[in-house]
Amino acid sequence: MNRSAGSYIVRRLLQLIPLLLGVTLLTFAMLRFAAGDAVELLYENLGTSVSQAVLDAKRAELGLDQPFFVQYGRWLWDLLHGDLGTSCVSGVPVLPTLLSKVPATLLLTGASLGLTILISVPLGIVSAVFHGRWIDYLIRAVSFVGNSLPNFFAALLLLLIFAVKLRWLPVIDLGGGGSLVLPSVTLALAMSSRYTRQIRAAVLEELEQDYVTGALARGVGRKTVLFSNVLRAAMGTIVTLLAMSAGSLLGGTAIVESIFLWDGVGKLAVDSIAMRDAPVVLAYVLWTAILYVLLNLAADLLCRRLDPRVRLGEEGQP
Amino acid sequence: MKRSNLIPAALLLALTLTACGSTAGTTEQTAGETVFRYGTVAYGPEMANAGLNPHEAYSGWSAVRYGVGETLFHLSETMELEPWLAESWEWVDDTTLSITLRDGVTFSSGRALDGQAVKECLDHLVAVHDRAPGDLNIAAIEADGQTVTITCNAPNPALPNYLSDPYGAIIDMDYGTDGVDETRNVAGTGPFVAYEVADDHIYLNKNETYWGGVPQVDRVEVRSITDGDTLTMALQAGQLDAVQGLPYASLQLFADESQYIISSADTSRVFFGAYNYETEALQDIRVRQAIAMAIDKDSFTEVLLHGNGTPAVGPFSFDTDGVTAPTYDPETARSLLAEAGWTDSDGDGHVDQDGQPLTIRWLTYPGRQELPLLAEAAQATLQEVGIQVEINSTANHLGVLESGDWDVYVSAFVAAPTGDPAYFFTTHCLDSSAKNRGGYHSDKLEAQAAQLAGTFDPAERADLGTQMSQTILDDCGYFFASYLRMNFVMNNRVTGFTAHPSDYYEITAQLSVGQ
Repeated sequence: MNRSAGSYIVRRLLQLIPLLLGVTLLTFAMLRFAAGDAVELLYENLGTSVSQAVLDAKRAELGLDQPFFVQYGRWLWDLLHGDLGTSCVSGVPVLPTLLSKVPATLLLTGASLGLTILISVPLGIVSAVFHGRWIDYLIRAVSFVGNSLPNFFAALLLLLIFAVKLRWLPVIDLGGGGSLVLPSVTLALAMSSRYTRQIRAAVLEELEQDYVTGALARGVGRKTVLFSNVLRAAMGTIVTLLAMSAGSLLGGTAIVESIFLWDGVGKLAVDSIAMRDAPVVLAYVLWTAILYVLLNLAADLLCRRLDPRVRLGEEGQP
Repeated sequence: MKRSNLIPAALLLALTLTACGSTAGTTEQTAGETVFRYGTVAYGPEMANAGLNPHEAYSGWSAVRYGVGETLFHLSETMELEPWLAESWEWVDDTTLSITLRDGVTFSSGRALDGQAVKECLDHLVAVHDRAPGDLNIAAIEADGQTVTITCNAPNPALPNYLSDPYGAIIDMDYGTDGVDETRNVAGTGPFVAYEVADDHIYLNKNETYWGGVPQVDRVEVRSITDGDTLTMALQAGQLDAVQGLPYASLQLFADESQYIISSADTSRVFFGAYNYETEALQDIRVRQAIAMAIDKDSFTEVLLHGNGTPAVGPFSFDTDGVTAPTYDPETARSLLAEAGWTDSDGDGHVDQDGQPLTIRWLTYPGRQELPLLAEAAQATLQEVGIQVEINSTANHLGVLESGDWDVYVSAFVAAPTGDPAYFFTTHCLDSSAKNRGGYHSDKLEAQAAQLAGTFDPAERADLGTQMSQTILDDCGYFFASYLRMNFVMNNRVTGFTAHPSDYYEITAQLSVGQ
């Protein structure tokens, strides 16, 4: 790594500090000023009644009776000491809770991204190479349908066919394996439909470049040109897309996680927001903000490695 | 990664995924072992009942529901008090209750249940729990052999009922630290003993030394499944033996009695409306009567709830025979409105007075699927008698309540969680009630409540509760739309698993799973 790349990385990482302060302050404000706090919602949702003294005591215990900036300042101070606080709902420390959800999310992200690459790269290339032929139309039509299917619908459809009717795969994970397949396929369906079209467009663009015509005219094999030059040139687009998707997947996919009982960070986030569980929501926001910054940084560095013409931190970078 | 490595890596991934998906998964089950797999929407941190520690929030519900903990008193099918860990009880005086405990009961830790164990448990409960100290109002507890004597700070006739609340599950306080070990487990006296406790599941083994006889099921797996469709399909696929909390629309999928059994019970959760007495039009009882008569409860429960609810009369599902309430009668409703000066003077279909239409701001919240449906049903039927309804179904209902921008507030409430009638009235209908947000007042009800506070005989309390229900119904102080019917759906191999109106008892020693 040269000096300019090093300073670029440091600069990007330093940008994280105001970003994190901004998003956490905004999140804190939204939670605070939204109607109902964790204590109120908890008791009201249960349909039982407790005295005001009980509510006040609980609020005091959780520090919810303090002014806004005092609460935020305390949270920030604890964060600087490596303490993400305790969940208002479960009373369990937030950091171990969040970390316990990460492996499941990582596994689902890895599997669905792997499947996406496996499906979309060959289909995108085939579609571009056979541009305007029936196979191109077929792939585009299928990807159009795949892209249009909402995740929850695809999930239920897959469950109905493969779990309820055929009984090849489990609806819920009872420990016998196979539970990764349907959630991964559900996520990969929409992503690969989108990617197939984008890879097709990137490859088509490269195929129309002069260097391709020149190479073919010089007698270089079509396959060699395709795999050695075109695909490498189109890789920048794919890497950027993958980085964005990885960020979104690692941030959790609440609907798919809920349907498949996948114990990941997405479900944790949605449940926490519903219960106004500020410490957990803030930890989740930190996690996603850091993830996005790091993944974008990694994508930039990878693009630079794939195509040395790319200048980091300058205009025209991917 | 080099291009040459990309394809084998991708193939490896595909093979791994295929291998993972080769067989539908099941938790290991040894030969001859009977396992009951149960999916429920009612367990988890969002319900404040994750874990089994009865002294923490609502986790006692999980301890009792899943057969780990037992309380001193039990509620019958008709919500009457029965002895459970207690053998008998008597009031020594207005503030002192003497309880004799059942002999031969042991905790799963091996310790025998005696007065000292109960004292330790209840002492800790009132020291740390949020609701119990206020409910129980205990001044002192004394133990002597199998006898426990509880003295209250003031007469508390509902004390035995409160002790049947799941927070009153008796656990061995010597177990772990303050009764809970590092795996969140507790030692109760119930037919099952947990071996794994998490936020999304509880796994249990049968208690071989259970005082009520050895349970018939070897192992129970309780899973929190909050998505209704997943719950439905897991039961259809045979991965679960029973489920609780299916969406109403899914119930018809299990109508085939040769394959499935549905056990239903009306719970004490009631969907009801309170009036805002600051609204001038609602101060007229004839307008309130007209509203009550314009709500078609039968259609609501039969059509919109697919028959999964019972039209309500008063606040209590177990006390519908002794009370009467206005029934659906649009004609009389129109007459009452006319009598009160509300007529359709301009022929626009809405009644009006002094040029102002009668418009009801109907406040409710979407947290319970039945409430927005009820709002829409009422909007349609009230329209028929000329009353306009503006629905505000919002998660911010508490904020709107505080602002006063509402006329009718419709909510769901567990009216008699421990079978005693006092709870609903003291929380909602009296001048001192925290939830009397509309400002209802009745001199008669205040007097009856004072009388109830000094009545110890359960039959007399029940009778007084009926009279109090009738008082608020005669006033049209509130309207009661329906009672929540809870359903357990199970495959036909399951027996001994029945829905209970209290919503407390689910897994018992009678549970059995056939081959």
